[in-house]
Amino acid sequence: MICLSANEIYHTARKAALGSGLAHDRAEDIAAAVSLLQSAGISGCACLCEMLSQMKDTGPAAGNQAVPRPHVHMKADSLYVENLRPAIEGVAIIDWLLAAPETAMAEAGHIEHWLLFAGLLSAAGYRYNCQFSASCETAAFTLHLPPAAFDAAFADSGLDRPPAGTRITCSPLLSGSQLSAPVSCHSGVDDGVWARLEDLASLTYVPETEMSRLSGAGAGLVDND
Amino acid sequence: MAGAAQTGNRACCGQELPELRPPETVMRLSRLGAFFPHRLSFMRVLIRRLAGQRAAMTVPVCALDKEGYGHVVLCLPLCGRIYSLIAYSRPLADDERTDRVIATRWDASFCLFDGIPDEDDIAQLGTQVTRQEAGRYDARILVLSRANKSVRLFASVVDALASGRQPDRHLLQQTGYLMRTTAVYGNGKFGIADRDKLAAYDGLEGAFQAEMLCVFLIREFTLFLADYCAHKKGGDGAVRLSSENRRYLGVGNSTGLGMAPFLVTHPCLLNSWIMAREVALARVCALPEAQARQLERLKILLERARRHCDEWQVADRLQMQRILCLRAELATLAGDLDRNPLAAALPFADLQARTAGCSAELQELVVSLLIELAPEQVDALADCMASPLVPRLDPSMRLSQLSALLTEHYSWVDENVPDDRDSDAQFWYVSAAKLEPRLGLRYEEPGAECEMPFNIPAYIRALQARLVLCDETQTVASFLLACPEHRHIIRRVQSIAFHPYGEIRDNLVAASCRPIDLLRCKLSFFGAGKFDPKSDKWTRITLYQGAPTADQLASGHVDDLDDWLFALAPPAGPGP
Repeated sequence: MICLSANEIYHTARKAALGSGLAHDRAEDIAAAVSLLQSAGISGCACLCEMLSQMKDTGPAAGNQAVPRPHVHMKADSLYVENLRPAIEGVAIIDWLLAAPETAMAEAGHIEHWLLFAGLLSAAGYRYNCQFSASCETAAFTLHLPPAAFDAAFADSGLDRPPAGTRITCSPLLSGSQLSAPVSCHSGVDDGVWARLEDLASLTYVPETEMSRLSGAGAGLVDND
Repeated sequence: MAGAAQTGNRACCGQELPELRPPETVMRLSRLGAFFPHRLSFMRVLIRRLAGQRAAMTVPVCALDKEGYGHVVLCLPLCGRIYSLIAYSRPLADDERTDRVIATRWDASFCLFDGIPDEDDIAQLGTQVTRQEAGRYDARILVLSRANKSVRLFASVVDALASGRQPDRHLLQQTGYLMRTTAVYGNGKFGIADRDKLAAYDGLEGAFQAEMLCVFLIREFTLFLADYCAHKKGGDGAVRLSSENRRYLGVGNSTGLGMAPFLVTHPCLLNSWIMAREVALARVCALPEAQARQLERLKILLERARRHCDEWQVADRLQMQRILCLRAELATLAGDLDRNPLAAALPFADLQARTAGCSAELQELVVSLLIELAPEQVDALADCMASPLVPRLDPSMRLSQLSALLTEHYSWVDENVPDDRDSDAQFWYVSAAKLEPRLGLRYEEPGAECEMPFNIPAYIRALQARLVLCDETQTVASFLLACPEHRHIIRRVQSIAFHPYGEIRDNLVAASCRPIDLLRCKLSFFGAGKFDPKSDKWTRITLYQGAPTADQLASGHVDDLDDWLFALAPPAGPGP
């Protein structure tokens, strides 16, 4: 287990996501979710590692090209998703709900990497000061994200995987009330997980060439002045 | 909901904004690259606070050998907490001394420790701090840094002091520092404390205050080391560096491309810095009349600025041309002020108006002077310079509104000719070699597929081309279901609407882009002076030159201790 700062986790997660082919905006949102989960004592890095390992290895996203469209069906204010991938349909659903809180609704058949999607919902909740509700009447399932206290205890007891057909809605918080996110802090990550994320992150680095070395800032000068 | 929660752009620090210089004027590379340090610079803010608290530095540990190698601990209280610089001094062969990020050994390595380290801490950290990026740290370490000696000046100063005399004034003036840092790492790098931890500490909550505190203590270490080595060499005949010389010597710094991407990736923070400076300028210019003390101070500062620029010599041809122009313009301005006193009404607006048509260097130098004249209008703005905000998408926005934002804030992209290879000749990337940020030539070097997303004009044009095909009553959220590739730039555009000084309004990948302009902008906010470009990609600077030293902090008057804009070399005088 390696102890890492929240900033290390954010940037390595972001670059690992980029290195796996996600676009910059998605990579940033996923990294914020991972960092939030880790600061709350939840193993967000392991979840990210699992998600990225299942993604097709497309290499770093080039500029703003080649971003996959979310597979959604729209009906009035509602979005329907058969299979929710956090970085694709998950991000789109959150945007959709934020655009029309209280009236918009999304329904997901299957949710991949639920923990990561819960992190995305919670990070958006803190950022926009709103709360998302995931519920399924037939299965008597209801969950609010972010919760009143986002910590490992909540993860142990309250982050059950939602059943198929879960509906997600968004409600702005009452005026004057403010959610407070867990303070970013150091957290432990499995060595193997971290090594894998660093490997993926390294795909965003450009191997050094003699030309790039010689044209780098400060090259060619004598520093014994 | 999504839009309403964004910070409004008509207020700063909770107050209605005065009329400001427009972002289209301020946020040009040529202007950002002409900024000077000023009253709101982070070093000035820190020194004001330390001086106000009469912070007294102690040196509880000095374990140096006769050559000055070993370790030293310097402690300084700030707002009720003790912070310690642990400095490790090591021998370094000349052929190993390089300012580049890719270096692996240094003359001295440092960490800023939260509290007072014990012997075990010092020993354990010694195995890590001396390896810098290759070491591992925990949250007790707030900042990590290293420095190399200015070999000739350091040796010369030690020799002079050991011989019982003060060092040669001209040598001091030529270099201005005994050591220069080559990196200062904060915010969680390599396992050190996150910014969130520091934000909860009184005195360190402001922008880069921990880093500035670390550099201040590094400067103290360099002075301590010179005195120590001189005493070991000269024995009882040695003298201590005079207080004038101590105050004149700052800390050097070599800054390369690593600093530049920060400004692009932190638009809300950049906005808060520039906004504070522009509000300060506007408030001073809006003063209806000048007090006698302000006019007297202006005269003193203008003369000091002239002498400072006379002492500012660089080898870089372009910068030296600018300095020569600045010197001439300053002389003209001073003469004009002698002949034609400032207007009785709105005198400082009059001064600013007199610089119209002059170089950006003069205009921005005068901004620094003006801000200096009304501390009561300016100093509290420092509290607004650590924005925690990050760019945020407003998915409820209609495309018509988005198009209007593009027209309002991004018309500058039309200055670039699409499909011209010069317009995207460069690309920013992170090298696998110690993760050094670099700038490559797109059509000559590999790696452009890994570029940082800084080709803003291209992203804007692509978005505009798509928007004209869409129903403008559509929301952004709906648009992004079909066109998710534009989400990143839409988020940026929407954020810039609320943080208008957060976007540099020039093409950062054009052949003509000079990264040195970005560096100077950021460094001026740190409080750096004596910009000494070594290419268009990196510069040497001096930090804390003219700032009070630790022993002066504990005894001087706050107003005197805060008066160090445009440092001057100490006057020539007899020995010790």
